[in-house]
Amino acid sequence: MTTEAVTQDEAYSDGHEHTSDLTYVKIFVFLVAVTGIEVGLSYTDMPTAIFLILMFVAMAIKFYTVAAHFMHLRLDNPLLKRVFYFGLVLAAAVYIGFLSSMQFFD
Amino acid sequence: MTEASTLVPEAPYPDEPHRTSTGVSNEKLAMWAFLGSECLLFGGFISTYLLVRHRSIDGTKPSDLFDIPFTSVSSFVLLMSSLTMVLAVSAAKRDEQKRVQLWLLTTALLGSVFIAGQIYEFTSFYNEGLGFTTNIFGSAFYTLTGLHGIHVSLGIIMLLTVFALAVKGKIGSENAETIEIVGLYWHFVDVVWIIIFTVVYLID
Repeated sequence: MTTEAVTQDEAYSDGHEHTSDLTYVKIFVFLVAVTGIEVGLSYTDMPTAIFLILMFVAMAIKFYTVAAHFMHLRLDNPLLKRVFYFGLVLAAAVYIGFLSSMQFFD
Repeated sequence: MTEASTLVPEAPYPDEPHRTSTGVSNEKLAMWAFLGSECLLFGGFISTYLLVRHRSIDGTKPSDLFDIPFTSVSSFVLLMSSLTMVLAVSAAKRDEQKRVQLWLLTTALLGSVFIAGQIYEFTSFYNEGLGFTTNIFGSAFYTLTGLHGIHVSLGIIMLLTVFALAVKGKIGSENAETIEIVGLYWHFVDVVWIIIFTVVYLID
C-alpha cells in the first residue's frame, strides 16, 4: 500500500476502525433531517396510533445513530455495549411495568 | 531482591500499564456503567412526566405553552454540539492540538447557547403563569427538563476543564481517551434530549 493510498479511516494504530470527519458530518445531516421530519409530523393531523409509531421510530433511529456512531458503540468493545444496553433495557422494563401498573396504557 | 520488593505484588502487565483484564480502560468502562445507571434516573423522571402531564392542570396546558420552532432550534444546537464533540475526539486521536481546542470550545459554546435557550423558555413559561408549584404538570416538566439542563451545565464545566488542560498541553494523542470519555457524557446528554424533545414537546 502506498502512502497516498492510506486513508484517514486507516490512519490510526489502536486497533479500531475509525470514521472520517466527513462521515460524521453526513451522520449529523441525517440526524437533522430525521428531526425535521419529526417536527413536520407534529404539525400534521394523522391518526394517533400511526403518529405515535412514526414518532417513536424516528426517536429510536436518532438514539441508535448517536449511540452507535458518535459514541462509537458500533465499533468499540462489546462489553461496553452490554453494560450500557443492560441499563437501558432494565430502565425500559422497570418503567413500562410502572406505567402499566398505573393504568397509563388503558 | 530486597525484602520490601517481595511484599509488593508485581503489576499483571508491567510492559502495558494501562492494560486491563476486560480489554478496555477502567475509566471508560466506569463511564459506560454510569451512563447505564443514568438511563434509570431519566427513565424515572420521563415516566413520571408522562403519567402526570394531563392531570390536575389548572388552565395552562402543555400545548398552550410549547414553542415548537424555538425548541427545534435548541435541538439543532445540541445536535450540532454532538458533531463538534465527535470532531474534537477525532482530532485528539490524530494529535491535532489546535483543532482539539477549537472543537472543544465550540462544543462548550453550543451547550451554553442551549442552556440560554432553556432559561429563556423557563422564564417565558413562568411569565405565562406556569410556576414550579402551579400544577403537577409544571412540577414534572421543570424537574425533568431542569435535571437535563443541570447535566448539560456539568458537561460544559467538564468541556471547559478539558479545554484548559489542552491549552496547557496536558492532553495529547496518548491520553485522547480523556476527551473521548467527556464526549461519551456529552453525547448521552444529547440522546436524552432526543427522547425529551419527542416525548415532552412533539407528542402532546
